[in-house]
Amino acid sequence: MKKTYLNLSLLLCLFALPLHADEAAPALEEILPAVQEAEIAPETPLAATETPSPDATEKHVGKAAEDGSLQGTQNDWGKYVVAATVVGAAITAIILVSHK
Amino acid sequence: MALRAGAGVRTVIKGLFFLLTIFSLYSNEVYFVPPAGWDLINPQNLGKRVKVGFALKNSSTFAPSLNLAEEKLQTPLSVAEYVAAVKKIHLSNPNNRWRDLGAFKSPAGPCHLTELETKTKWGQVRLLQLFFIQDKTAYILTASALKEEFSQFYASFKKAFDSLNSSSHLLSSLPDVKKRERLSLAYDKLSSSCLSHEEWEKMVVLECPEMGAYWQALLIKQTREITCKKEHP
Repeated sequence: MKKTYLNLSLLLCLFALPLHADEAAPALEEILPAVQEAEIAPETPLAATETPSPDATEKHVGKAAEDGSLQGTQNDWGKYVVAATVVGAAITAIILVSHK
Repeated sequence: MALRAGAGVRTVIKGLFFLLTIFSLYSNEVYFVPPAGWDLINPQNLGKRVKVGFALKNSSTFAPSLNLAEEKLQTPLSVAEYVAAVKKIHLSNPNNRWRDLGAFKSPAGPCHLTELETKTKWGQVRLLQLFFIQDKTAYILTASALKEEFSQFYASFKKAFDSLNSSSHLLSSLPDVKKRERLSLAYDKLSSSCLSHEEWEKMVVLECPEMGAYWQALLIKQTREITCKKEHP
């Protein structure tokens, strides 16, 4: 259950949707960059360095498959998942508090 | 009398606009169900076209993973044409070994399966890629693991591939009829404000673990979008 909430919280970050249309949106936006800067920024993600530049990619078809395979050959999930869990935990806390 | 008729027409037009808004919001979603217990990969670390990824943290040196990538196509292409373009890209790297495994049937529709082996610093990695094209968009579900460990995860990968689905109405894709009815009822209550978003979202998470976190998040996203549109037209 807790893990589902963590995963779900992260996915909702991905969609950048507010928990409550009006009030909670700023809270998410404030929390996310702060936690991510602290946890993730020092370790530049491989995806950012290995993905070809948009200029080179837009001309050709099949680049999503290449992105998918590049992603599949990365192996730094450990630290990223840990960092993500911190973000997830923060958002889970917001969700749980908002449910009370 | 004429005034009353005019108000009636306005109500009907408003209703139609509302319905059109609702239908336009039900965009087609392509999703898959990740294996239970796999961790979501931090979206910040996903490639440009990768929508979602899951990995299994295990004791091995290389964590097996699954990801779904998406590419908008400028011109309509068949799966075979798209796969031909991918083959060219993969074979341009001399470290790659690429194989066409042929057609694959998924609930989303006819797909194509390929295999790629590539050298990495962790050893030889094997990737299976499942291709699906719909509405000028290519969807690629990639499964990867170390070559020597691949057979351990084959069943999980196969199950994820078999779950690739496409739906414009996510609730209707719920296979359990009773759950579908219960959630549809709850959705009606949500629409008429008799149920809060928190209660609805809790219900989606608790009642549908078999659909996986990605489907759950897509459904929550869809309902939030509809509510936002209703509240701020």
